[in-house]
Amino acid sequence: MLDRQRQLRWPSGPGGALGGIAGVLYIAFIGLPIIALLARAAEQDSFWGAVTGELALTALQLSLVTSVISIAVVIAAGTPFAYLLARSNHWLARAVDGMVELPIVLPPVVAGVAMLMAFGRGGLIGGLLDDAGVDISFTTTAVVFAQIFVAAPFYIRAAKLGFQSVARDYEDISQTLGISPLATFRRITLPLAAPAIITGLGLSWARAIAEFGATMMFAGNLMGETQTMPLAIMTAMETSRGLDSALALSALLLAVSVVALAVLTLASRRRWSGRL
Amino acid sequence: MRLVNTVKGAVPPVLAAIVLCATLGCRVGNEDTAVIKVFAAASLTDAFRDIASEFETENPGVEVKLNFAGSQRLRSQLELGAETDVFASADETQMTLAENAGLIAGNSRPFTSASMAVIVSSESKIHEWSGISVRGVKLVLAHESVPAGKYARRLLTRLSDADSGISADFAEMTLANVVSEETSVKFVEQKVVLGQADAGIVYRPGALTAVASGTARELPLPLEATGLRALYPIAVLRESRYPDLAGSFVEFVFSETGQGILAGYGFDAP
Repeated sequence: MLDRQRQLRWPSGPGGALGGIAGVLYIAFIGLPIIALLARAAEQDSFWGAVTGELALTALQLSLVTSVISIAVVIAAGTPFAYLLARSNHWLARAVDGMVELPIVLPPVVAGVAMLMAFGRGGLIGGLLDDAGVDISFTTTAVVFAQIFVAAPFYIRAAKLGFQSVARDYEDISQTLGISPLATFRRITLPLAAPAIITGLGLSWARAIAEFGATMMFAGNLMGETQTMPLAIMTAMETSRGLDSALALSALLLAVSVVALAVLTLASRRRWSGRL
Repeated sequence: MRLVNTVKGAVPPVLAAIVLCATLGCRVGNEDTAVIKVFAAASLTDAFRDIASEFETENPGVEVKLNFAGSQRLRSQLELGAETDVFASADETQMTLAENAGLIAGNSRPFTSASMAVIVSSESKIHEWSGISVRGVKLVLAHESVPAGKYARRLLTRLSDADSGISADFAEMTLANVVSEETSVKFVEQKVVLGQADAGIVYRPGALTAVASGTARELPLPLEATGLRALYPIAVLRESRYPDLAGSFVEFVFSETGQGILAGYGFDAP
């Protein structure tokens, strides 16, 4: 409502012109490949066959199941951790804070090698696990491990910033009114931080479903077990005359991601402020 | 002042473009050295590195750029328009696909061959090839679209048929043990060498390298299995910018030096 009454503005001077040109270039740069992908995919006669084929559906199911599990773990462990990071000024929390984002800058292949060295059979912990009869390499668990490793920082960072944006005074007042810390968190802090948390959730989930390098290194590539959508796309791409099916799978993954992004954007715009 | 700022603002993107061009190449072209690009099957990695450096020594002013991957990936990249001069495939299938796509100049020629080998990680308790069909063994193969994966499956069929003492569903039981299908034989070797997988089926030259590193063992195969050979064809690409140089690189692979290097890594005559 408010937006309509606002005057439309465009920054004057070189800022506006440069911004406009750069914006057009940027949109073309990002948009063209996506349009090209969809156009080429739609051209294929075998499009629906590939989208509803066993390869696509098995991989999509695996991708959705693993990414949802990963995100559930990330939320469960990441939320209290992010709150601690947002509220603590202990030197230990400060030190950890910097390290949390390390996986963001770590190339996924490096993450895969690192996970192999830790959890692989010859690995630091993997050897002990193996003796105990637990071997996670080449299992769906390994896919989830890889996804959590690369995706968690996006959520933790966003949630931390969200919690930091909630003034401590609100929490203090709530508690002086006799509301328990947990209820305060649930009814004051969480709703106020919700938009930031949901944005982080979206980024984190997108990273998890896109995970490729670490999965290939650490979990392998087997249909129905560890072959997620990105791995299925790569495998299809290399099969002779597999480009059609790679395009169809890519379009499918794109559609799923766009829907998820739209849902999360709507969710983050909703008013989350709770009632006291 | 605004203009100055605008110009200043343009510096980082221009710098970035220059750095990108310098590192990735923008086809501005350095005319002093001719660069030929060679797409070669992953299993040729060590041998072709040596061959390329020998070729560069014998031909000053020529630089050979190598791109190694599973032959099916290279073929797919070629079909999608990758510009290159020479293609060395690990099987006839990928070469034929490239020929049918009109990518090859003249005819391809087989230049070397390799037999298949079963390797196990050095800690593995498997000592006979038939052990890879035992339930619970973690076996890694290349994907069936990869030449090494195709030959691995053929090897299993041969082993099933060859030995009368072996269970009739040996191949089937072994395939049920597959925990990952890799896109290049190098990833198969790597997963066995790291001990992540128990066993893998690879080319003999790769097996020899893995065994020499002390991290894997090769399981002796029955005589019938040794007849199975991957035949490697090589060809100059039609779009080659230096067809003569590319041709002499191919000749060099066939030369005594080239064949000697291949033999040194455990490849056989074509």
